[in-house]
Amino acid sequence: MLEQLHGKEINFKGSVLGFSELNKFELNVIDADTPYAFLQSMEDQDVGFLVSVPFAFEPEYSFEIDDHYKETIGIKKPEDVLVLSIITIQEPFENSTMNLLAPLVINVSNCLGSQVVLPPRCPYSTKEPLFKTISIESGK
Amino acid sequence: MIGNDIEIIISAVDGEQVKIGINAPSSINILRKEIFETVQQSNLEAVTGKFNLQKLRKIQK
Repeated sequence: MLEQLHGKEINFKGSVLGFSELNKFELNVIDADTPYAFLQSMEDQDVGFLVSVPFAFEPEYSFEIDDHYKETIGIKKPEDVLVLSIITIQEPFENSTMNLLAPLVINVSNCLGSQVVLPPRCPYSTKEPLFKTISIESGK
Repeated sequence: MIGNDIEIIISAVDGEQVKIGINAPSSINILRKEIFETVQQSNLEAVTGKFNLQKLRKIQK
């Protein structure tokens, strides 16, 4: 689903917190086989976000979309929904984190999007590691 | 009432504790301030310019 939005303009209607004056972003998939894309503001060349499909890193990720957001971007059916999470890039890249507390939800049928802030009781943070270290069960 | 559509209600009083609720149309987004600030801060830290795109193309999956 990510590929079908490549090069498309998504209107976030000022919903990205901290960037309420920015609406239109162009989505560019980084490479066909990876879950990464770049969201570039069409109104401010200095503003862009590396985003990814969170399920590629966190397969169990799930949440409810509050009515407010469903209304704002006109979601009528689940098939219209694409979820992306903003990545905070760290050096080295393996230390980068993604924001699972406030994903970007895009309605692919009308190219409207919104940053959806999940309720406080959700188990996710704005800084979830992309690459989890697998702990070896050695009984330590 | 705040404006025509937003209502602040006192939903419970327990000694010195007061519970406040907000009634508003679903078109209005209500967020706790500390959550708003946490997300805003995270967005600001995540912003990256177009010039980083070439560097990002080298990312391994």
